[in-house]
Amino acid sequence: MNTISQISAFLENRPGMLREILGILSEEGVNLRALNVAENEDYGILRIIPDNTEKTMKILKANEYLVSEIQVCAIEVPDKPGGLESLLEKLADDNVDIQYMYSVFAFGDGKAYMVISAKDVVALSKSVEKNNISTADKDTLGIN
Amino acid sequence: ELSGPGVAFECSDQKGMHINEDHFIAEIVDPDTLEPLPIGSKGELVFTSITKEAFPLLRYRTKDICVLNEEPCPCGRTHIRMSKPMGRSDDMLIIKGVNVFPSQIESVLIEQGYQPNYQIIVDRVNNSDTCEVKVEMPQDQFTGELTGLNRMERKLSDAIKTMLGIKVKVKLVAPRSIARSEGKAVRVIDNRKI
Repeated sequence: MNTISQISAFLENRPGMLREILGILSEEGVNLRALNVAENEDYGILRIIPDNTEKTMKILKANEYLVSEIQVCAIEVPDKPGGLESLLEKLADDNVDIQYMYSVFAFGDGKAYMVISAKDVVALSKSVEKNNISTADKDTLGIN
Repeated sequence: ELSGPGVAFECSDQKGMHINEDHFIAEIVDPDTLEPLPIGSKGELVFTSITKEAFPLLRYRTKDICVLNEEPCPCGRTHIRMSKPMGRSDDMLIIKGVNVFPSQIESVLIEQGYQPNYQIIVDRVNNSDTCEVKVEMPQDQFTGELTGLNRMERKLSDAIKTMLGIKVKVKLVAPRSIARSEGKAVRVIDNRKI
């Protein structure tokens, strides 16, 4: 199973916070391949897959953002009704606990992928391989 | 404290509290120099007990800021009267009737692995005090998950409740986001209108 680095950043939930962090990244020439925001009343968590993980982590730390890096997996979703459901059925059968997911469109092959964060990465990996689910590698997503 | 059942009572005219001067000498002092101030000045109220024998108190500091008035009251009583306390000479807060010192909250934060960068915001909503504690997130405790953050807030709120006996809302904020004056964070914001 191919894994991809994802960076999470803590943001206060008020106007301009997302613009500010994205402004810092664009100024340094970081290109984002995927982005997702989870929020509650007081704060949000920005999750990004940048083209260069190491550089992005350095920039955000230098700007005093709270950040963490984890490995996620992007599974290929067949472009037809029930495409995602059939994949989730297999993962559910193998008892994979998904924490969150979001979609990404890979320009490398023009296909749709779901980025998945699982509580137990090993369990996810076993299930993905057992069911022959294809996953995006770095090149497909445009990551250096 | 001084002694029961009380040192002062309000009369039906409600023009200040009559101090039991046959038992206590009331004075207003400057809370910094501790020098007595003339009657009518605003300062810290101190009491000296006259009739307690086993455990007398001399200029017991109440830390309450108020004004004394020795004019006879319309009710006919001539004992000196104290105004409603206008504030405190220390940093103690009274939240839901409970005495709270910011240092108590600070000790919980340190014990739970947080930096003492915090702010206490007190307000009154529907005649009930509310207390929110803003705490800066420590870099090493951020996992990138919302559920983890909620868990941290609940744990801190529980620990503060154990310490103070009142429920406070804990809100995690970004590092260095709490306003600082002269390098020190502004600890307390009291928005209650008293």
